[in-house]
Amino acid sequence: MTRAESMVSAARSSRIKSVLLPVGWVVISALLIFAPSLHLVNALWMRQIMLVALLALVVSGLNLSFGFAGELSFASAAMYAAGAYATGYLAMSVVNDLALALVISAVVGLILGLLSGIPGLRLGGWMLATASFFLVLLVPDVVNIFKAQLGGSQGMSGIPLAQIFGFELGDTGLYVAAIVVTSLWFILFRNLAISRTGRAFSVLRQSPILASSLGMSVYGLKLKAYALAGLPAALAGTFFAYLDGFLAPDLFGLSFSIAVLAASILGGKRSIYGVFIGAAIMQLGPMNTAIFGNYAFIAYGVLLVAVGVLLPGGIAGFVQQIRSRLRNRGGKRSTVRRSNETAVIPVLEPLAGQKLQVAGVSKRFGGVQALTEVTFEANPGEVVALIGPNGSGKTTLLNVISGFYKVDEGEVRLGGEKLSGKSSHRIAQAGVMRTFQTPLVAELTVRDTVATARFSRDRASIVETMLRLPRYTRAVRRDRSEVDAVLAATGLSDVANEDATSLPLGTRRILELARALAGNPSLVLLDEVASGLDEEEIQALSEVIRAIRSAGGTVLLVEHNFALVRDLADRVVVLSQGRLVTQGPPEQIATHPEVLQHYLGEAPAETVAAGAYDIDDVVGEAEHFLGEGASSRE
Amino acid sequence: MLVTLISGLSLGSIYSLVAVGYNLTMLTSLVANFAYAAFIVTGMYLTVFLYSLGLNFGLIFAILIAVGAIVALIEYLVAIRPIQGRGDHAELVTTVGITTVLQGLLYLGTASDAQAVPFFGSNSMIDMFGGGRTSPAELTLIAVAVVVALGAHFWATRTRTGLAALSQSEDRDAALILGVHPARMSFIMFVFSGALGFALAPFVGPVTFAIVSVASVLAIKGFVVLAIGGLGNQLGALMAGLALGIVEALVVRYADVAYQNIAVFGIFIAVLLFRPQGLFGVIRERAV
Repeated sequence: MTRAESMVSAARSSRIKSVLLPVGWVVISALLIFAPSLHLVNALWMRQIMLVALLALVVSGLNLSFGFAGELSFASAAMYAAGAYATGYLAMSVVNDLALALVISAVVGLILGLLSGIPGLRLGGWMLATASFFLVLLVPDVVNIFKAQLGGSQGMSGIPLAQIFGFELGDTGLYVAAIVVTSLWFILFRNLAISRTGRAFSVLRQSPILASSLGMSVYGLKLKAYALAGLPAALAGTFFAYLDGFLAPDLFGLSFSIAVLAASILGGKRSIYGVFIGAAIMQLGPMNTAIFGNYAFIAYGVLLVAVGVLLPGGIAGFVQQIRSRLRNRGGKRSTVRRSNETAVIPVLEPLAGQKLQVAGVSKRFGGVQALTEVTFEANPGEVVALIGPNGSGKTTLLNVISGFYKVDEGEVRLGGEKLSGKSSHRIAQAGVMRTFQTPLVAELTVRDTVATARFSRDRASIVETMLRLPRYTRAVRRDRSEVDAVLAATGLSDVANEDATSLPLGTRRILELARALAGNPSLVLLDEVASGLDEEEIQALSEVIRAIRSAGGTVLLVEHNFALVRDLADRVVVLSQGRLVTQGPPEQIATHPEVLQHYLGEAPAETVAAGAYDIDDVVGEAEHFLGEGASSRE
Repeated sequence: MLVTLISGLSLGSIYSLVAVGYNLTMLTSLVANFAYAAFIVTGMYLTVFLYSLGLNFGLIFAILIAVGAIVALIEYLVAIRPIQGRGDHAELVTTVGITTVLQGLLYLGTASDAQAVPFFGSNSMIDMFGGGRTSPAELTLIAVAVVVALGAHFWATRTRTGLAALSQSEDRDAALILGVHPARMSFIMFVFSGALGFALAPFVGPVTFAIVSVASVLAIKGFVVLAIGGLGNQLGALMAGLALGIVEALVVRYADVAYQNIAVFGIFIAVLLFRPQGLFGVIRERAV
């Protein structure tokens, strides 16, 4: 199959998918909705199906925070309880209306999520897990404190049958409502999971540093996912309250949270539809006390350990693995290298480069003075190279500029606006895009990788994303056209659909550059962008960097390869032991006695003056001398 | 008042002991063993059973240590080693799994929920100044917590292996180059912490009673102590645990038992918000 043919077939299969999926979803939902009136299910099964649907709602919330935002939460039981008790109280003491109860529950779930997420996410990991676990421990206490309203530990009984706008819903009516709500929520959940936001989550999970260097607020994104996770759990709580008309605190204990966790990792914590598999297995299996009884706890625990160790992606992940293995066996593996025939001289859209001013910047780590009063500038349309021996503070300086380190003294300005003091994602949003010594790419396609730089540039809210509102679809359209342009300009169009992590080093470095460009940068920071590349790859890379300069971008380049520096840089800034030694055009630097001294350790003044030394030899010798690639503080 | 203080300190001692246990494995393998509190509770039931056989305390203590080491070894081999370094909070899931299995086994194996754990020493109450009485078990528990926490602190800051553990928790690669063996170290510490957890049972049990669900509560309170005391800081764990116990005792004494956990949660949230590195911790800047 030629590339064109395969692209056509891929497009066709994605079109089939885009029709089949919604149709299938509607058919399955309708089948479940009409099953009772068609006498396909009896009352017992109706109850079981409804419980599976409710559990699936709760599990989808956990998948949002654990699978997508990467933060494990045990709060599901607390959110579920909050929705249930809010509904019970509302129905018994205020007004009995299912629609209103769902709205109130959703709000309560979101608020509770926000309140526990704001402190818990400060540290994340164990501390978020603890905060959320604690929330579940507090359920009985809170219920006892509001004994008059919530019934205390004896339970809250006598919740009336659900009504909606004054009509009483029977068992079947409640069942239908639960299926409808679950079905609708999963459409929203799916829309969020498969979206620019979903991809932002995979970046953030794999590298928080990369995420913030792309302008994503790690804390903000995690908080959104975590708070949103409370919503479906609270909705499920509403149905649960109406289902039996009785609530007691021990229904919402830790064992429920652990069952939810087991369902999530069993189905696949990053899956969408796997949620139903996990929920069904748990609901019909261990959670079914009639069968498992006292063994339920052991079953939960064994599931957590066994699936956690053996099937990290859950059942959905396992199925996907098998599918991709089958697919790879059929077709030949593509050659992922960027083709050179397309590497015409790249031309970029004009960039709004800004002037970078580094003024008197000092940075100390404990007893190590990494930078001392470094001052220099870089102008739009200029490539400035930062050179110096290992440990001279080059990468530290890049990290200071991009906000990963806070300056101790001095300041950094971009286009007159002060950068120092801002957090790294704000600095990225201000137009500072960077690459890393070891290229950082998430497990996404090349196209999606480049598009992640546009996430914080072209915003669409979570609601707009879930509902696919115009602002979202417009952002996606702009993503596509701008990413296409950048891919074409950097010669990556041919590998656009390849997995970014499978690319060879040289192509990955170009990809990082392309991603930086897609962020429409006013300043590009390149950290040893040529190391480990062959001559041809360096050539391709240089073309792109020159194109950035021609487009009016400001480029700051940390580089060891002096030949490349001389080839590319308009100005060179030399650092040694955290201090600025000198700066000037490359030719001048090449013969600067102090530079040579710093590279060689002693000044062969006469030989240099006599012009007997070529700088490349000197640097080469110096690098040999210093042990290039040896471990350094950078 | 003094009675409230003592009961607060003995409660806090338990929290400290759990947090110290977390810190031990945290330092060596960057994993807080969630099952540690369940170890203590399982040890309590085992203690009750062994006493019922008429064994003497020395033998019981030895059996607890042996069983604890074996249980922790199994946990390490099954739930920790296969997933180390995978990230994704995988060990959070599996250690919670081990806790759940232990709790499930206890639910199955014990008829009544709460069982009194005999104290090996005197059971006669001690009169206190200013009225009120306290038990030798409570005083012993406080002493045990202080000794264990100070011992762990001494180990981490003064001994070669402790310093090696500390170094590899800060920079694994650098420690490897210097000849530290992180895998072996984390294995040994897991087994040791298992033995320690079970061995603490005859001291903790007489104060709390053996109750299965206590394991979850202790597990969480231990983490709260870790957050307040600062990760990896054993002295911080001791102080924070004792302080938390006193706060709880005061709340129960002067307010209502329903507010006991809510007060702790409030403190926990406040610490996370205003001093996320803990009261005794230090901030470390992240690097690219």
